[in-house]
Amino acid sequence: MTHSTLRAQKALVNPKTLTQSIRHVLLIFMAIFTLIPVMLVISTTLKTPEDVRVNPFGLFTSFSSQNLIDAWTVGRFSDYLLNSVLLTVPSTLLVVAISTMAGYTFARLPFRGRTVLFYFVVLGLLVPFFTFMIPLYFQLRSLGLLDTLPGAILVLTSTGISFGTFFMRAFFSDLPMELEQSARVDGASEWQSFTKVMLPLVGSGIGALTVFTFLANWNNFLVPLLYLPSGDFRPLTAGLYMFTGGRSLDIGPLAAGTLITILPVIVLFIVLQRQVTQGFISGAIKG
Amino acid sequence: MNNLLRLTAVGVAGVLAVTIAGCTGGAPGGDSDDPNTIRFMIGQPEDPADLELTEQDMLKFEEETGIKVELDVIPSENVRTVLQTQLRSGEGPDVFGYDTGPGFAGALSDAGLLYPLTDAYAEFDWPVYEFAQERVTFNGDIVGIPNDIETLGLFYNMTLFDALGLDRPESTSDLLNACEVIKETGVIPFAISDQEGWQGGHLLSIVLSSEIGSQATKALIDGEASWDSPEVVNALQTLKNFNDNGCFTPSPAAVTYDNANALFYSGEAAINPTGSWLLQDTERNVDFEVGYIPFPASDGPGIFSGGLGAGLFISATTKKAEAALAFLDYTMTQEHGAWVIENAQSIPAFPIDTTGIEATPLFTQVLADAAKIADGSGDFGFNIDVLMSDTFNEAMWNGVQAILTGQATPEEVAASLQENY
Amino acid sequence: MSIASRSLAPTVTRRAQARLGIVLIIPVMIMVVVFFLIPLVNALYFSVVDFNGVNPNPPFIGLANFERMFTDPKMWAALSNNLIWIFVGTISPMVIGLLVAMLLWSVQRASVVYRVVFFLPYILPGVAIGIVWGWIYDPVNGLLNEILRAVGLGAVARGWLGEPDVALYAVLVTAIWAGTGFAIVIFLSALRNVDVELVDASRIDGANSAQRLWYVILPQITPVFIMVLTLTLVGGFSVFDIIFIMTGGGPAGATEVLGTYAYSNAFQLNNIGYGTTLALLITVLSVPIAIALNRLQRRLSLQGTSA
Repeated sequence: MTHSTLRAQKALVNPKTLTQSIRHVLLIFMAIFTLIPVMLVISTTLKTPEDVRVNPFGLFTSFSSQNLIDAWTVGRFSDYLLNSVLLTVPSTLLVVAISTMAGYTFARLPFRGRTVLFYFVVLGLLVPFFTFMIPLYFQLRSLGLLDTLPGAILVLTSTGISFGTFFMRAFFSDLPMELEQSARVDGASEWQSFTKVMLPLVGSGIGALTVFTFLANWNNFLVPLLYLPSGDFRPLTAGLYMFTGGRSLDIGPLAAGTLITILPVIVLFIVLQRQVTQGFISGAIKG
Repeated sequence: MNNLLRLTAVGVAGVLAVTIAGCTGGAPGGDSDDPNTIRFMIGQPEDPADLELTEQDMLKFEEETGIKVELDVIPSENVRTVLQTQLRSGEGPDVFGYDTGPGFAGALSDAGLLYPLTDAYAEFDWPVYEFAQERVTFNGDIVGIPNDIETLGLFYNMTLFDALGLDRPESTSDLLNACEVIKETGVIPFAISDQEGWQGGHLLSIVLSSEIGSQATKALIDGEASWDSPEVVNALQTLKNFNDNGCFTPSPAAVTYDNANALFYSGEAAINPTGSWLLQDTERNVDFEVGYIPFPASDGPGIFSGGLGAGLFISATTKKAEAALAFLDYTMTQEHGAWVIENAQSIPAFPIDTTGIEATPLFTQVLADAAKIADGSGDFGFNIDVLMSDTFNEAMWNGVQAILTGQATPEEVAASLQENY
Repeated sequence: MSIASRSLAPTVTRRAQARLGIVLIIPVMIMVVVFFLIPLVNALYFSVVDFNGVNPNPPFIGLANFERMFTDPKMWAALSNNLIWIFVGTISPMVIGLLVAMLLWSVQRASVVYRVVFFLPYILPGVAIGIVWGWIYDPVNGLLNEILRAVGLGAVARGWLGEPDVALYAVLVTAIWAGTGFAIVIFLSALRNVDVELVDASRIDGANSAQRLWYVILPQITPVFIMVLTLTLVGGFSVFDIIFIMTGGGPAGATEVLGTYAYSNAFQLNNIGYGTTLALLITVLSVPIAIALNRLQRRLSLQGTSA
């Protein structure tokens, strides 16, 4: 106790405070550098369309909501937002559900050949999407799933289950064996043991996985680009890209569209930042 | 337990078999609908306003003929892949807009996916210009209707030129001279963009066509002359010279199409080498007088490079041929042509009586020039990239970029063009 | 990563477990087989035929695609770009990330705010990042050139994304901006697990900061370090989004990497077979590295000091 009071007194005149301040200055500097691009987007979005033309990248020289309105209506970003939701929510739910079931099995339910199956799943983590994205395109075409919402959802789901399974397995592995045994002694079936005992205990894992998967799927660019070529269910990422490809002069609505694309992610992250960072760490250490 | 495992294995194997069997094949397809409804697919127009125009047009057509048109709009980059997929599986649109070159409509025609229109041309007596008809003829059949003609040339800031005492450039030395004068004033002479890459094709087209004339250019395109030749090297060298002399925007490969246009519109650059499609946009955005001239040759004013824009085609497997043909016919009337000129500011590919049509002086001039091209009384060069294969175009686009950035010499690029022909 | 494969429970239970296990595993296995394994096998098939996307019976051409790939100067150019990317793009976020994490470690106040701010770029979609930085790099009125001109460094201003020598590095800077946040957050959490008493003890023993870092701190965060290294390295071979958006591989291929080259071959030039072969190359390069690093990490985390 005396130690800390002494410290407090020392802190006032201590060179350590100076170092702390320097540290803060450095950090603030880096923080600004990190935030500039985001501020650029916000500033350009909020400019009047004329100002965008004249002085596109000056920061915050005027204010108008015209660009947002244009992006939302003419630019159809309201549609894209809806499509992003339509793609991301089902695929995230599927990934979490499938991965949790699989993770539990690989952690706790042995049967012959389980290890081999696990290697197959893990292979999905090692092999880059690139390798099979082209054949997958033609395969979807012959299954009649190309250019369909269910098709794209399934592909998005498939990109997340390797990591998801791996992740949930780690969480389930950490739970002590005694829990299962006592549940069994109490007469629970395997299914009840899973749903009533084990599942509730990996809540934080499920939460973290949900957040990651949501982020990854929301931001996914390649999958909608390739597998929804006719643009029917174009989500924000693909929509943003198409918006740039056209020979248009409209940086204002483009900035607004960019803002619409990144805002949900930022908000989600700020609200759930603890989940995300915790989750990453656990994944790292348990890996 | 073993049974369950076995069952699962069988199930998985089944799915496996089915999918491998169909891996490169087409999709299940086909739908039969009301014979008075046709599906019309187009790539996304750059300007949303253009889309509205198209929709209005469709409605008018429906009023006149009772045939409903379902519009299918696709991101323009994906048109080729989507079209191929759908046409092959028999699920294609009845009518679609597509590029007319050999790499595009030509490829579809080779694959037998286009409805032959030679008879229809005779029956309906479509007055499409000869040269335009040729461009949509493959394997002996006319397969499409050209939508519009586009020309490539230089838009220039006439007001600025006048102020600087410069005349309309009628030779490359005039142009270089103008460039020096303009540079002095701090204005960028040429608003060159080449970040996207395709601009390179246009640049080469206009320099080459003007310099060696249409016959020689056609010979190159048809493969009768080699691209690895002094003429081509010279054309590339011309571009390099202009660039080295500071006549182009600094670091052109970093400048986007939009940026370059913006520079021209704001008066920061004096000349914009692009095409007639940008006319409407240009007039909307500038507050000075604009002129439109061909890129000059070393010995004269040069010729415009012209080409077809896109065209309309009918799918070979359509079940609504009658309705589709009626649709095509609708676009061939004088009224439609006039409407297109006035509203979309594009140049129809058949003769139009321009009296009484409201168009700006500049556009009227462009129309007149185009008419001369089209009825054969004027000479015109070629827009190379619509007539060549993908691999050639890629080499051309990369090549011009490389010249502008100093990554390659004109000789090297010419050689690679010939290689990729 | 040990899988408890022998249950200690009686046979009846083992059978019940196995039954439930199989049922629960079916969804993931179906997904893996249909959407991953089968296309993967097809990839091998595509790489030995001449498929242009249209013909249902493409001709078999054996190893021609592979031959072509190894003699293709553009492939080697792309690969060398990947290597530059991996080298610079791995070291930078790791080093910067570690330094910033250490800065944050010693700062008590507002650390949550900092963490959120630094992690932010990592969660943004690649498309958006590419677009915004495209504006910053714009040669005419981009923010970077404006700032350079404002501080009198106008001579340095250039067309960042359009000049072959600079473009790749410009895109790299963007990627580093986007990726460092990940390293910062991970390292910070790992640092939190470091045994501070050991560090203090070493300071008392007279070790300076560099020595403390190298001999005391780093060894304790090695497993995490390796994990970040693995992810970054493997990602370096399959990088696509950012380059595709910002330069499309240009100008004239100066920023082309294996990923963009494979994409353009497959989807723009209709050389499906060749594009797939290139994609396979990406796999062949990244898989061994990933496995090796994973083994290394496991070995280290087993013998290392964990908190």
